Amino acid sequence: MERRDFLRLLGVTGAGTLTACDAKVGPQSLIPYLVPQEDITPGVPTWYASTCRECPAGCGVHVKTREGRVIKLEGNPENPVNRGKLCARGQSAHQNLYDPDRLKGPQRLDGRRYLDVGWEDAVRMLAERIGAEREEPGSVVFLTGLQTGTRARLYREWADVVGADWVMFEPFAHEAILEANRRVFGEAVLPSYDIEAAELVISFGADFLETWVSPVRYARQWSRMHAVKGLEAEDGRRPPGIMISVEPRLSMTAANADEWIAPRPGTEFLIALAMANVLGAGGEAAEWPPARAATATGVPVETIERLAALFGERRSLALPGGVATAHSRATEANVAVNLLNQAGGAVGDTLRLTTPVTGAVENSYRSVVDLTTRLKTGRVRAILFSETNPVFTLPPGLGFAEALRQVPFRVSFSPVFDETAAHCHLLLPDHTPLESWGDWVPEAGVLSIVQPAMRPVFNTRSTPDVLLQAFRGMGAARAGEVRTAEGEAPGGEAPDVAAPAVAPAATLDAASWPEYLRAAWADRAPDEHAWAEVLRSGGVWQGGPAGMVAAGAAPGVATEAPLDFAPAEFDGPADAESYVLHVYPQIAMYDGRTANRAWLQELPDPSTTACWQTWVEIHPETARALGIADGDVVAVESSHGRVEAPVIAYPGVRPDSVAMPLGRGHTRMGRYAGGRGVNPVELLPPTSERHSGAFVYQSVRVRLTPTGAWLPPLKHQGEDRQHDRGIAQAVSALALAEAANGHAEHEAAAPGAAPHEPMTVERAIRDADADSPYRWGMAISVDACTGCQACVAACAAENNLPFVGPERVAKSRQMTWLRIERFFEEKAGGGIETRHVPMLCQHCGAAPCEPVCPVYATYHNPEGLNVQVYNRCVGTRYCSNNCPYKVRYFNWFTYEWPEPLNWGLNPDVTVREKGVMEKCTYCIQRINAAKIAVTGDDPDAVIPDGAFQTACQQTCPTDAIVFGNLKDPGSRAARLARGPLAYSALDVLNTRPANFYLKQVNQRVEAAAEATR
Amino acid sequence: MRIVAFGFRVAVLPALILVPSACGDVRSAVTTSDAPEQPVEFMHTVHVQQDRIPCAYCHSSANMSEEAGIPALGTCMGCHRFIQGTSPDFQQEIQKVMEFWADSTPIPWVRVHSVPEFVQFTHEPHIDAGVTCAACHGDVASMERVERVAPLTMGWCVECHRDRGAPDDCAACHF
Repeated sequence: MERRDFLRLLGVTGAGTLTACDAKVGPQSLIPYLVPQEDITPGVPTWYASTCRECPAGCGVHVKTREGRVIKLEGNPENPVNRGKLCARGQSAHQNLYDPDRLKGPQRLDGRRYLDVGWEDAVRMLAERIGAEREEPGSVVFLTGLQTGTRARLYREWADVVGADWVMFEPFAHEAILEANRRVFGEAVLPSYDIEAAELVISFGADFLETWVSPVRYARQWSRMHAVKGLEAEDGRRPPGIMISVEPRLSMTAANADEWIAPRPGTEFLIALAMANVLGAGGEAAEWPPARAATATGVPVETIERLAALFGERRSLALPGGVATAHSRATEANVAVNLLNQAGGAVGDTLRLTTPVTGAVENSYRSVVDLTTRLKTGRVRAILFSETNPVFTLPPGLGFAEALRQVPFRVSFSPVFDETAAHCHLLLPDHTPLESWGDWVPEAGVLSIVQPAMRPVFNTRSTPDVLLQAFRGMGAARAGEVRTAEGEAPGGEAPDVAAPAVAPAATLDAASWPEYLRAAWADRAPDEHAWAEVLRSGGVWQGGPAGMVAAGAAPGVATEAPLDFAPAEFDGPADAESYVLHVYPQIAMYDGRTANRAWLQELPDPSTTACWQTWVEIHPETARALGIADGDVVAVESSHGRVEAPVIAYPGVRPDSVAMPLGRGHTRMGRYAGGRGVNPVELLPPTSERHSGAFVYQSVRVRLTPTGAWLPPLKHQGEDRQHDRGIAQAVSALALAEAANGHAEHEAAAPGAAPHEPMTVERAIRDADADSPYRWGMAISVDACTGCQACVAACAAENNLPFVGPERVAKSRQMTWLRIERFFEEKAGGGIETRHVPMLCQHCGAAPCEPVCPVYATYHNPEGLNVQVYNRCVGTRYCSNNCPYKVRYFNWFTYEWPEPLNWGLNPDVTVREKGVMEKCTYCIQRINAAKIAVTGDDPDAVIPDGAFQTACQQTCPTDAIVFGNLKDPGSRAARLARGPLAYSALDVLNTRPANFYLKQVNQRVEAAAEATR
Repeated sequence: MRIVAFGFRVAVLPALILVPSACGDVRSAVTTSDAPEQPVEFMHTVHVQQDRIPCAYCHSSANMSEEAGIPALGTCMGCHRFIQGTSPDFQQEIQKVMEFWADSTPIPWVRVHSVPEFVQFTHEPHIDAGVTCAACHGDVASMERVERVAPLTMGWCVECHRDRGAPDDCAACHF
């Protein structure tokens, strides 16, 4: 056949297909509103201020809706907790809202099946059963996650009036911090830590950049403490802050530390004690001179003395651990850190007890242990679960699930059918937070509003509403009873200070939950004008409640049992074949509540870049010794359980330990969570720590047995080293200090320095048309990037990036326009240094992708953007093959968005289909929107710096990404890109990238030592 | 430029075969009937020529949004609560509107003007630049039934963009 004939035939076939489609699809309908909507203009986003409820930190959010559907979340810049930033979980909150596996409405168990039931019937059933059971004290139990604010107040009142036991259980409840603070400072509170004000921060296992207490807030503070000052201004340079991490595993936080010290598992606090000793503290610290601590921890005496000297001479702060130090000496560990903070003068300075934050629950685990015992007696006749999944998060050895069978009536308020709901008779799905009213107290003085951003997706109902209706249904309890309960100050010895002091009408007689909430806000928002302002701003930032709801129902067992500052004990033989098991919460999965979100399942883990599975981190040497490598499945066995998971060789664990992330291993919850990974909690005994009652996460030694099976390691990044390519560059703080002192010395040429004109902002500007006012570019700080993946999630949400699933990740077909490359470097004095590089399209001036495209689908536009035109692309993939940065992603399939996940798609960005190449656009939809906004009145107006932000920049907690117009000499991006730390990735190729990276500043500890010498 | 044009033409043919599933949505601009029958025989002639209602009274978001906006049924009822029609034909059509209102059902208008999904068209900058409604939609005022007069093809868009000095960069519309 002649080529010409072939093409003609092809044309005919094409036309035929086209006609077939025509007949099928036909014209589209235009459905207008019935009544004009006051706050909706079609095509224009409407934003609502609310509060993120993905973890107890309670960051403020702005929820973006289009035509009544939530499509994106961004941080609320007015909120003092997060100042406009959000983490990856917050960015994916609307995938929870649109979770296709959510319960569609109330259901009741009928034999072995769940049957749909109407809300009226469901509430009546609840009211009847609880009304019948509540006569006997202690027979009704209400188990929830951490609550604050008006919801906590309603729960307290409801429980008191109904005669139910309200128990709060949070898997990561920081009980040991509370207990240690009670012992040392006399107050069982979670203090606020002013990381920003400190010059030196030492973390003893606190993963404060990833999951600990309020990671977005602390990441922002850390970046301000840690940043090299004066990069933009001419003056004001001072030595950058130092962060040191002391913990057995290289967590994401430790990876960002200037020095990572890995003591023997369960001994990190002895270093704090010895440091306090050096600084002259008495008491327990007196018994731990550095030499003794060195023997116990395996950390040299000199290191301990050096740390102590640094801590003493600088404005310092020591952070106590969360899950990482939740071992059998958890309280001792926190007391030791407190003693160090006292000795170093941090208390009252960088550690403030007067402004406590939310995040801890006293007696959280102890209450559940106590509850389990009561369940076993059969005296509990009804149990209700809200915002908690104990069957999944508690160790099986506790026997909670078995004990539940003794309870004749079990109710779940979970919006999804999770492991606990699977044990329930009645499912009364709550709204997700994006559909709910409520409020939250993230810290003393701040009261943040939760308001619905759209109508409920499914036939769900707010749990407080259900409780109010059930209360009415019970009939017996009426206003008189409520007043009695109020007279006794709801909350008992732990008054619900989160609720307003005077609230005339917020009683259980309220017609609905929104009415109750509004009444509870009566003194802060007396009129509708003030209320409207609360809804606009997202809350009140000053003069809010002075404290938290402090305790669960079980009375604290406040003993003064003497502390024992000995290394923590681990269950199991301490022989050469056993490894201490380190379990940790990870940014995407946290305690497992977010497991059914495909974006988060696919989000690379900051440390290992793995996804979609539970892995076992083992030291490369251990792996070699055992003859196993990435992907080999091992059986992990403790004396309490056994799980099987693939290994990942990770240099960030000690050779005597292994580490596993929590949060996966669900059997329920939905299609993305169920049957994915294993739950390492199954390996742990149900041990409580002696003093605080906290669950002991770090408690066992395990044995590893290769099973012979192999699973593809689902890692986003295959290579941990950069092999001298200079992608992630660093400069020594010593050199910087010399430069600042006027001894500027040219650095040795970067590895692979090229024989061409070095890349500069001026060269980048020449890569845009001379008559265009713009040359878009970025300044990206390797130093500030923590690898937290918030930008990756934000990019996915903004740009309709699909998830491809584990099978395709195994073939490296993941779609991440923006990825964080994580490289390990050997340090001069031993140890490893981690560098994080956000890698996205460089919008090169001499882009290798452009000349190889046969159809002109990718080209350089007048503003310097490297543009990808989807409708032109025919999918040859030449561009991707020729891209040295590997930032182009090919649609091997038309990826699906199961209804209603597709509701969250951004209508301003084309949804790509099979056969099309795609990549970072610098959020061109935002560029265009900004252009339309400024040129409306004046066609020649130029977008001012900061008028809009790209999605990644907007959410970055550490401001590592700065986007801007390089042609504007005053733009922040241009100023940073002209600064002393700027370099171009793979400069040797002379691609003239528009992204200027800022070097990591290392050797800070050495520079500090030099300065004092 | 020649090379580019050649490449594009060759490329487009296999593309139709490679992505047949997409052609329905994507190419509906070409396929919509030029003047489809509407659920209500709405007459722009009466509303615009006779009653002198400006376009933006009903299509109120054209200057602030990507969508010009189809009026809510409530907007129709603002007048038609009182105006029942002067002829039996008009009365019959207005009666339909009343029925939709009584049933609380929006009128399912049939789309006349559409562009493919990979085109990010937005009305606002066109209004800002002084492009009249009629430049793309034709003399709707004299249409008894709305019809599409412009082809809405890329060539047609680009021609106007070039004449007016508007951006003819692909990324102005395709992203």
